[in-house]
Amino acid sequence: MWRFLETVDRRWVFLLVAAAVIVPTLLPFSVPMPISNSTQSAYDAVEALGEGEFVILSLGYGPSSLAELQPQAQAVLRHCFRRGLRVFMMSLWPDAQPLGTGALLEVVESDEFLDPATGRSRLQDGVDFVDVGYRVSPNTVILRMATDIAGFFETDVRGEPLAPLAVMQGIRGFDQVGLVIDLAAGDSVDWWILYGNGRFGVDVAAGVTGVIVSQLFPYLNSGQLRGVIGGGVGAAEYEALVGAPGDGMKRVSTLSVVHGLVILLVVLGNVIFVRQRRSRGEAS
Amino acid sequence: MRTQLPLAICFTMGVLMLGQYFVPHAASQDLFRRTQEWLQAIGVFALVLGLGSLIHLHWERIRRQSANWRYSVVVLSGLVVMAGVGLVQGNLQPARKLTPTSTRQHEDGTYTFKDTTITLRSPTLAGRTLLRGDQVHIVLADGSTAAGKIGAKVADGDDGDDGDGRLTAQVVRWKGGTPPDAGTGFAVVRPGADLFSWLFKYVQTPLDATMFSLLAFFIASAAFRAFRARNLEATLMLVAACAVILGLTPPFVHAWNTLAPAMPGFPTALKDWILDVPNMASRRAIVLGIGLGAIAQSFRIILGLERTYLGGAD
Repeated sequence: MWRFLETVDRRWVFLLVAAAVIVPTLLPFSVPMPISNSTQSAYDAVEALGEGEFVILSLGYGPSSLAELQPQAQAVLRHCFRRGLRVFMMSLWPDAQPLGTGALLEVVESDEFLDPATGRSRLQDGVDFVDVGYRVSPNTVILRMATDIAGFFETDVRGEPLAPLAVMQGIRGFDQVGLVIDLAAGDSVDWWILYGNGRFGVDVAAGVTGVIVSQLFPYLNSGQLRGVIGGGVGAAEYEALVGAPGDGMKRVSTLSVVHGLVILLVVLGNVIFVRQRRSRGEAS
Repeated sequence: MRTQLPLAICFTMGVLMLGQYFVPHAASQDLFRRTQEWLQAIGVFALVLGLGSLIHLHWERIRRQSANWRYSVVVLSGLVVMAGVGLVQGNLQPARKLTPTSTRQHEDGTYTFKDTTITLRSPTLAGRTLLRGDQVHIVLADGSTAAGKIGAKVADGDDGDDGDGRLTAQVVRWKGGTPPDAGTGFAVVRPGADLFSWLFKYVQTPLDATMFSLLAFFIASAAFRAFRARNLEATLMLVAACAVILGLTPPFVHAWNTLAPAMPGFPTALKDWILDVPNMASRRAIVLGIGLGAIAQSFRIILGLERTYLGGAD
């Protein structure tokens, strides 16, 4: 048994991981979601905004981090629309735009925002939200839009001029923006902190992949970030706070089982390590 | 001269931009805005360089038939297909909302729309005119598509020839898909233009997600084979990592709360503490170090002491 574990082929580990992903995906379970301080702070930052305030949802991710950040995008959008906030969606990665548009459509056309009288969404493009799509060079985009958002972007993804849209009324630059929420798999949060918050003083919250989240705690502590939603678990936490279970909560069972497996493998690996060290000590 | 000129430009711009940050005057802000515009323009050259380098590298591999040259064929094919489809077909922007006044379905499955005006936007349509009988494919709001036929001569939306890429067309007849109701938003694309979206959704997205997902397998394998408590530092890291992972595992937290009701939420609190205190302190030290290093390096570049960006010859 021990000899097998000491020399086990790593493909057995791969097989275990595959099982740990597939089984709970097919047979999901639900447990109460504990809420992290950082996710709670992000939620509170949105909650603190008044009806009609302007929120920028900046997207800096692609298909590789879809599983973690798409549920975050949907939960944040749902929260914003429930609060009656105006949403300005922009993409800092070229492949973020179709993903953002997908998330936006899914929320806007969901039953929650359906007007029973007309059978269509109560949320209107250009009135309640606007999607301006992708612009190249994140830091330049942030710096240039800071004082004239409509002037920099000019049109939305439909090609409509931005300035006359109802959603943009009363909005010139970051001074009129209630909150920026950056959903990122890369360094776009850094740009928002450096330039958006540091130079122009706009409030910034972030939703990031699990591998980035620990890097952002200094900014959270200093108040440069209003909150951080971290990875797939953060998405599930935000969904729990919003009270709208979605893909994030569905994936919690899978994440939990894989987390458990990793802990088990670490413990097992160390037991083997200690045994090997002892046997080497006895031999010498 | 080849060295002095770039150094002079670097010094001038460095000093200007450094001073500009502290001067809120309109002229200073205008300089800043213009510089950002230049930056975006210059950034495009990086794309050209990157693209050229990628093509050169893989073309040489294919030409020499070096090891795994077939993968290079895949790379270049992907590049040509995605860029080609995007450039040729995918740049028609979504149209304005349609407001038909009446809709009638015919026996042959086609629909007639009266006084239905759509607006096509595309750089490729600039200065062109759509004619009666031209086919357009229309992606409706529900995701279904309809093949439309232009029913009357159409011209540029403004004066017919200002080249802004906007064309207004009267679509009177199309078949397939669900006919849109009044006010339904939809997009108009040229035949095959949705191929780009299809490639993104069904090729790039799963490939990208698969590559990233493979990490889970390697992390698990590494956790078993390499994450060992060899010394005090490694043990501390191992314990902290396990505590954070467990704090992020809702069933464990739930089980803890059930079994140890005297300390509810302890795993979450411990995880938050690890991230908030030791993790933050170490990250802050790293970030401060990077910041100070970046300032020092920037001054060296502005003052011409650091010249490796010129090619390292001097």
